[in-house]
Parts: sequence; structure tokens; C-alpha cells
Amino acid sequence: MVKYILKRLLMLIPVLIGVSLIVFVLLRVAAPDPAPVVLGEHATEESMEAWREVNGLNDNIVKQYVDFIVNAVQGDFGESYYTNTSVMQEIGARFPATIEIAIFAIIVASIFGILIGVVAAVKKNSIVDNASMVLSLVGVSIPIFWLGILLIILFTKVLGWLPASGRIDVTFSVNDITGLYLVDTLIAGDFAAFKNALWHLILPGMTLALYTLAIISRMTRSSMLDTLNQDYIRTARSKGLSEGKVIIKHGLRNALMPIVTVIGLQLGSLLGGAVLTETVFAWPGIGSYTVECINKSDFPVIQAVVLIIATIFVFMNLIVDIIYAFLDPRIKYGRKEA
Amino acid sequence: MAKKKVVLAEGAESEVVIEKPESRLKSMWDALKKNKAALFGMFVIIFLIIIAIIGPYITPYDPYKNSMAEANQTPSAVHWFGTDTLGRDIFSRVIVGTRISLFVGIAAVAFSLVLGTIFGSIAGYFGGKIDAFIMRIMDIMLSIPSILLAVTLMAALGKGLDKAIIAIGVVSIPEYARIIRSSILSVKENDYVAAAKVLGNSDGRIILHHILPNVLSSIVVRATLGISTAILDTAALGFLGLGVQPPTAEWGDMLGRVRSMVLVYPHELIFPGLAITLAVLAFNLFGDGLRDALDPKSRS
Amino acid sequence: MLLDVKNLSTEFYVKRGTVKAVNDVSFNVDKGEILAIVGESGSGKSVTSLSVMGLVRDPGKVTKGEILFNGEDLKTKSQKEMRKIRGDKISMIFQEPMTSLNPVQRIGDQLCESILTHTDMNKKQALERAIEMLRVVGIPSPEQRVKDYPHQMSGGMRQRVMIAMGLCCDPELLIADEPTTVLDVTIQAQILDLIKRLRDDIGMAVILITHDLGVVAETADRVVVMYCGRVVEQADVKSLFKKPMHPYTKGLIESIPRLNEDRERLFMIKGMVPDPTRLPKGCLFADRCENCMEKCKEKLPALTDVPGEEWRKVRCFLYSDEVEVDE
Repeated sequence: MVKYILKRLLMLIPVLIGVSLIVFVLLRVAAPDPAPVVLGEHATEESMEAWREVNGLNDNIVKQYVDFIVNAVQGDFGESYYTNTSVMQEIGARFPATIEIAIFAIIVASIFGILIGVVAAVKKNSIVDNASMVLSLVGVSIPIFWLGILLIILFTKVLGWLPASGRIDVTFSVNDITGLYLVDTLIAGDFAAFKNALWHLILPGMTLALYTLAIISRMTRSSMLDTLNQDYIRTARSKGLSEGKVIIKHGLRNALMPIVTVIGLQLGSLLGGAVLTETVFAWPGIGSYTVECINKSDFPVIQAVVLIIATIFVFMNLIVDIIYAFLDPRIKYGRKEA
Repeated sequence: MAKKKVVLAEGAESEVVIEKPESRLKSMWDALKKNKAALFGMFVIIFLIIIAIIGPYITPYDPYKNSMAEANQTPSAVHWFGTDTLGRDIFSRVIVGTRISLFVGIAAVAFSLVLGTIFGSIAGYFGGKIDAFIMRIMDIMLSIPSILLAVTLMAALGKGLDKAIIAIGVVSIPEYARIIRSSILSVKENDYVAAAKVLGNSDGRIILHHILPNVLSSIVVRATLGISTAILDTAALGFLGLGVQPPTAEWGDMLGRVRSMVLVYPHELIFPGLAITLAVLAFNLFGDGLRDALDPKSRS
Repeated sequence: MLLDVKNLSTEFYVKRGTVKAVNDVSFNVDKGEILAIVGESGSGKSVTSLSVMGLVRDPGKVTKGEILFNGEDLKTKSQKEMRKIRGDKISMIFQEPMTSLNPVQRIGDQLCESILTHTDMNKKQALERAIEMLRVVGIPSPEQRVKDYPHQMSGGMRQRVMIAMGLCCDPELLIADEPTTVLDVTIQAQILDLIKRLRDDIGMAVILITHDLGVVAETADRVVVMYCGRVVEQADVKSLFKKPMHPYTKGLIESIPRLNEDRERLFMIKGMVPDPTRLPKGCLFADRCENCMEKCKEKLPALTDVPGEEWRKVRCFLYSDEVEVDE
């Protein structure tokens, strides 16, 4: 197993080099010169030339790439064209916000997705089942940003229950420990702040969750239907087990493999969806920051964001494969290949 | 995931039988006719296509004419969907936007379909190092969330409809390449391909005339579902302000421009989003129906 | 009488119509007895056993009859009461040992699950009991094997595990649905011997469901032959093989492969089992029968006693003109 993990980790290197190449070619070779955008329309040719020189954009393109990679490996993605603070710092300040909303969304989507999927499969063709089918269809068809807008109209404008933007009201101060407000407010024991942060999290979290929830419930349903028709389910019933035990212990436990795959794969699209969700809810994470940086050609930031998210994504895939081995005793990595 | 089963000539033991793709499309249609949801999707698609064609001639107002005196009106008998911040008739803009969304959606799918087919065919047919190389590139592309890759592409290419088509098209190439590749792998070993080879057909001819027709139906399904994704992506780029150039009436762009006004003029954000959802839903329903019709086993 | 099934009917409601999978079937089993229910697939023999277990699921339903177990009608019991009986007093083993065990659970856990459900034993005692049962069914070094997953065992071993699982709460009745069909001949004989030995040792009753009259000849005491959901013949095993009466039974016996006979080819009953949603009127076997008469196609013969033979019945106009009184 350890050998297998090491082998997989090694295989990630060419993938990440590939990602870095794609990003580099797109932003440093194909993209238009950022100097006029960054310095403004009225900048003189000399000042632009000086700016390019400082930012290393006049170097040989191969040298630029090598510098980029060598620095990136050390966690240095250069400085933002605008703030002159290091990109890692800029991203680091916003990353916890994105992590918080992504974790919230994946938890909500997994719990409700699996729950709905299981009930739909067990009560096939019932009202619950049909409703779940409609929900999953709507979930994959509705644009995530429009869903966010609808939720704002309903819960903020019409009902006035939940805030529509930001992470917490300015009246609260949060001690940055983990950067996750829900955790930090709890550590500080400030329940009013916790509640306020949670209230802010609900709308964007739900918005981000719906698509993933739809995919997970669809997958759970079909996987459960498959599993519930297996002979060992009949065996479990013939033992005199309660229906709940049959469904959870023998059914869901066996249906879990494809569900875990989907959850793992969805994390990628979840981080993508964060770009849109954060924009709708003015959520101060890396998603909205990326859009902002694209609009003002702050390329070092975009390079870093894409690389970091791709890294997270490929690591998630590896983790899913490892979870597999725990879920299914028939899978033994490494041994089978030998 | 991409292991779609391709229905091939069965019972071909000694003689070589090639089922005509047309007959398979016909049996797909027979199954489709019974699927109400899919038929609904199909009729909505036809309706949208008609609107896309005649839209610009039937709008009650000029979708591009500003009229500050009439700005931000709520829906009424005069302006069915109300007016936007520049006083433009939202109903007219939604109508005109149909053409843009459908065009970008279909063009983007065509783009990724052509390139995906080329890469997937080469990888699947020749195998070996070429296969490993191409598929590794596809893996790399898949490790970037599609919307993030599209956004980055837009940053590199600049705004505009043509660029949006390329950006949205590029992100789906790996998906089609994988489907085509695995279909080709499963068809490649078939007797009739071997027969065609023995008869001295060239590789290109074999791919084009003997292999691709047999994976046609699974491509049709994938492409239909792909259009819905492409429409969503188009709207997303527009919403982020990275899609079309103003004043083009594009659904996502219409939402993006007034999104900060959501609490003030919510009506301006309802109808363009409804249009996107309807279009995406229609292609999803129709695509799902096609898939079920093609492979009854996938129905649950 | 341990189990007395009277006029059992089970129907399935499918799109194309109603399937009477089990139609007015009666039989009984005594303590320490092995009753075989024989028929081709689709004859209703498996549904009969599932009906007894209370495991018929949507779109199926037991519509008529009584299932008296120790004098109590199982049909009137609630799901909860049935769960207490299932796996405890009546247990069942299935045809497919390869797929009937949960692939992601250890053998020991699957055995213990039954024991813990039905007894007051703690986990340690349950595991000891599980190991003991594995030893009873002839699994070598059971202390190690309880930690195995199903995929680490052969088909024969898995069927032994299934039997051990069925036996671990000392059932009064074991229903074995095609327990040896997918196993090779040597293993098949071992499993049948095991079932017979357990019957002798603990006096458990067995209902053996099979399509293979060869298995019946070696194992059973009495036989019920089913065709298209109805009983067509019943007899004790000796008389059945000595003098099969129903043409269907004759066909089944003819088609047993025999090593000591030099036959050109194996006998096969001609024709096919009819579509269960569109059963023909008249005798259900008429289309495939060598002795078919005019009236066979018009009327369904009743299941009538055979004079001079205890318990024996046959449903055929060759022996009696009595017509089934249709419901």
C-alpha cells in the first residue's frame, strides 16, 4: 500500500508539470501584454518597459518558465502586479474562506445526497423517488449563479432571514486561527459570532452544494438499486435482520464505492463552482479573487490559483483510491499489479 | 465512466455483418417516442431553435435601444419582462439572446467534438506511445476544473463570442477524446475491422468509414448532453463578465451586469436565468432520453 | 406436522399482467424429513420457498392459503414477528454461494450477525459459536477462516459457510434453494451428504428445492413436482422413481444423465415453458406432452389421489377424469 501511494505520488509530478506548462503558455505566451492594463492607459512606453523588466517579462521565455517552476516548487509564485505582496500571502488570506464554503457544501451535499438517494432507491417509484429525480434534474440544469440569485431574492429580499453577502457582520471581530470562521468563533467561545458566521454561510453553501447534491443523490440511487437486487441482500433478510440493518449495513455499505468516487470527483467542480458562487455572494475567497485578477490581468495570481487547485484535485483522486481499499477488501493495490 | 457499451452487430459468427447506423438511429427514435420527458425536451429545443432563427424579427422592441426614461421598469403589459438599467426591453433581449446561447453552445460542442474525435481516434487506433501521450495530456486538462480552465483561457484569448466558443470547446475535448478512444478500442478488435484491414484499406479510411459510424450513436448522446453544459458555461462566462462584448444581449451577461442590483430590481435577474435553465433542462432531458433509447440497460 | 402449507397462492403484478407464480399449492414437512420440490426454472418452486419465509417482495404478494408452522399461520404474522422466526426457526440457503455472501464483510461477522440477532450471546460467545458451526460444516481451521472475506474462499467453501449461517441458531426447518446447482459434482455430493448428516444428527426438517431429479433421488424422502406454479405430481421418492406417472415427471427422469447407460443423446422435454402471463387454458403441459389428448387442451385436470398409494397424487387425465374446479 505504501509503495502504491509513493508510486502514485510520483505519477502526479508529470501531471502538475503539464498543468504548469498549460497555464504558463496561456498566460505568458498567448495572453496579451498585461503592462497597459496594470499601469493604465496613459502609461508611457518607458514606464511599461521598466515594469516588464522588473517583473521579468523581458527574459527569455524558457528562462521565465524555469524561474516560475523553480520558485513555485518552493512555494513562491511571485508578487501580485498590483499590491506587490507575495501571491502566496494574497491567496493565503482568502483560501480559508473558500475551504470553509467548500467543506460546508460537500458535507451538505453528501449527507442529503446519500439520504435522498437511499430513500429514493428503497421507495422506488414513490413520491419521494419522483421528487428526487426532479430535484436532481433541476440541480444539474439550473445555473449555479442564478440559483444563488434566486435564493437571495427569496431569503434576503422577500423573507429577510439570511444575509446575502460577506462572511460575517463587521460588528464581530474574529481571531484568525484556522481562518475558518465557524471554527475560530467556536474556539473563542463567541456563539453570537458563530451564529452570525453560520447564517452568512448558509446561502452560498447551499448554492454551491445543490449541483453536487444532485449528482450524489442520482449516483446513490442507481448504486443502491443495483445493490438491493443482489443475492446477499436476500441472505441478510433471510437471517431475520431488521429492514434498516439490511439497507444500511448490507445495502449502503456495498453501494458506497461509486458514491465515494463521485464525491471525490465533485470536489474539483465544487472548487470551480466556487468561482461563480463567491462572485454572487461577494464571498471573499479565492474564487471571486481569481475573477477579479483576470479582469485586471494579474497573471501571477491566476497561475498560482490554477496550480494549487489542480494539485488539490489530483490529491483528492489519490485519496479516493486509498479510501477504496478500505471500503472494499477485494481491492489490494500493489499486490494485484505484481 | 467512459465505458459506454456500443451496440454492435451481434451473431456475426462467420460472415461479417455491419449494422447500418441509420437503422440504429431509427430504433432509438422508436424508443424515444415513448419517453414523455425526452419529447418535452425535444419540443422545447425545436421551439428554441425557431426563436433563435426568427427571434430578431419578432422582438416587440429594439433590444439594443437605450431609453433612460424607461429604465428599471417592472414587468407590465407594455414590457412583459420589464426593462433593464438602460431602459432596454428585457423580453426582447431574452429573445435575441436565444440565438447567441444556442449558437455558442452548438459551436463549442462541434469544436470539442471534432478535436476530441481526432485525438481520441488517433489514441485509440494507434495505441502505444501516441495513445499514452495524448491521454496524458487529456488527464492534465481534466485536473483543472472546467470553469477555471475556461476562465483562464478567456484571460489569454480576450473577450468575444468566438473566443468563448474556443474556451468552452477546449475544456470538453478530453471528455470526447476518452469516449471515442474507448469506443474505438472496443470496436477495433472486431472481425469487420480486421476484414477491412486485410482488404488493404488505409488507416484513415478504416477509422472514418468503419469505426466512427459505429460509435456515432453514443457520440450523438454525449454531444446533446454536452450542449447543455456548453450553454451553462457560456452563461457562466457571461455572468463573470468574461464572455461577450457589450451591448450584445447574452443571457449570462444580462445577469452579471445587474447582479449587484439583486435586492433592488430582482425582476431583471429572473427571466434571463429562467431562459438559461429552460434551455439547459431541455437538452438534458432530450440527451437523457437519447441515452436511454440507445442503451435500455442504463435506465433505472 | 412441522410445516403445513395449504392452498398457497402467490401472485406477481407485472406490466404485462398478473403472474400466478404459485397456484393453490399444498404440501407438508415433518420433523427430520427431507421434502424435495422439483421443477424447471419458472415452475414456482423458489417463490414457494420465499412465500414460506415471508420474503416475497413487491410486485409480488401471497394472495391465498395458510402456512402453518408448528400450528401457527405465518401469513398472519407481522414483519417483526417474522423476523424473529427467519434465521432462527426457519433458515434458508440460496443457489448462488458466490453472490449470496456480503463481499465486504468478514465470514465471522456474517455468521455472528445471525447469532447476535437471535440469541442473548455476547460477541465473544457468538464468535465461538460461529467457529463451531464452521467446524460442523467441515471447514478446516475455522479459527482462521472467520477472518476471511468471501472472495478468499472457493464456491464449495462459501456454500458451507451459507449452510453454517443457516444452522447457527439450530433451526427446525432449513429451506435449501438449489444449494448445489453451481457447484461441481464432487462438491455437490459433499454438500448433500452434509445436509443429510445434519438432518440425522439434529433432527432438522429440510425443504430441498431443485430442478435436478438426480439430487432428489440421492437425498429426499418425499417429492413434490411443480410445473407453471401448480403441483402436478407428488409421491415418496421410491415410488416416484419406480413408477413416474405424470408425463412431465417422466420427462424429467428421462433427462437425468446416467453414466452407465449408452444413449445417443440426452433426452430433452420438447417445447418451452409457456409465457407465465398468458397461460394456456387446459393442462399447462399439454403443448409439450407426448400423450396429449383433445380434452387436455380444453380443461385442466385436478390433482387427484392415486388409489392404493399413500400421499401420492397426480394431475393428469391419463389417470382420472376429474377436472380442476376453477376459482
